[in-house]
Amino acid sequence: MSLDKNTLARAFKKYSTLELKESLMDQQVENHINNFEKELKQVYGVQEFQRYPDNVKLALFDMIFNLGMTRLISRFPKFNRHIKAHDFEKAALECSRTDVNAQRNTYVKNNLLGK
Amino acid sequence: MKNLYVPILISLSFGCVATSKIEPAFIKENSTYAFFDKQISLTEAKNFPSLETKRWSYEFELESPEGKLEKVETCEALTKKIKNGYQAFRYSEQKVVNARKLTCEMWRVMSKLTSSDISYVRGFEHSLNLPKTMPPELALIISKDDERNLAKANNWEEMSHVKKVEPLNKKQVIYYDNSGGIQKLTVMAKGDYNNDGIEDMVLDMSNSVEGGSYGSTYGYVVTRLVADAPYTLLKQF
Repeated sequence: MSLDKNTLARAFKKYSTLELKESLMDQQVENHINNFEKELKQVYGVQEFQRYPDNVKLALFDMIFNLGMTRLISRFPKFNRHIKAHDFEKAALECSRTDVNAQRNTYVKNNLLGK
Repeated sequence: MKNLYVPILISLSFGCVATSKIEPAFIKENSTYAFFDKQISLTEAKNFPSLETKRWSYEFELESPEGKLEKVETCEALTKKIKNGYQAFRYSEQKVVNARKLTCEMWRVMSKLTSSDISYVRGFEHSLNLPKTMPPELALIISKDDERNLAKANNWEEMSHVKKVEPLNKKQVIYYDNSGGIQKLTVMAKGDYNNDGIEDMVLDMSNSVEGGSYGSTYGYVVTRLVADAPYTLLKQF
């Protein structure tokens, strides 16, 4: 069995004995969050990012986790302009991503709108 | 004697037309093992329709808009449920659900391919120049800015600015753009899709991004109406 976009990760369970400890998984999550925070500070500026409300920070974490830093910088120019201008309502109009689950797009939009 | 030659000539010329037909061709490496735990040989259009109702070896759970869970184990059921607003029960499985839906549709498209009279796509080759000749819809479109740019673009290259191509084999190549987009393009089949006698190509595009979890898959039917012309988009799915 080889990796294919049509295959669920759990389909490999019967062929594998690899188990990740809870503590290792937590550490991985923390590492990812720290890296994303560093990248977000690179994109929006250290002082600026720290001044954003928590709900906006959550929205930005979702965006960078999903899009990666390069794509977020280069293909969301309007969104980034509105974020930098602290116009989160206008940013909410630009945050939607094609082919991303509707609930997830709504989660980001609502965070930007402070709902 | 002259009367005898005429039917002989007619039958010879008809024979010539019949033998010059270009038969559809399908990629050898298909995704059937991911659905049925074994590879199924798909060499002719008539092999595809039975996949619509063939039971998968691994079922999915989908969630209805009302929150009800239901198992899905055929292409037919998956397509129907997605149309009715069902989504993957586990968010992490949504990408696989989307990919399966695309593969099922790809099989339907390939089941419609017939032989062609003429082909301008036989010389197709993956290359850094290919995006300049392909429709802009092949680009990785995620943001609203991408959507606005698509309305103005003439080709894939204008949208993506491809900087590198990495061949995986003759039919499958990864295209890297200058803004973190990674697009794996596979030629799945060639044959006449719209019955105009001209050979068309069925393409599969798997999209991802550098450093992000994003993923999407699309299918395309493209053709060339004359030699060396840009590719025309016949269908996107």
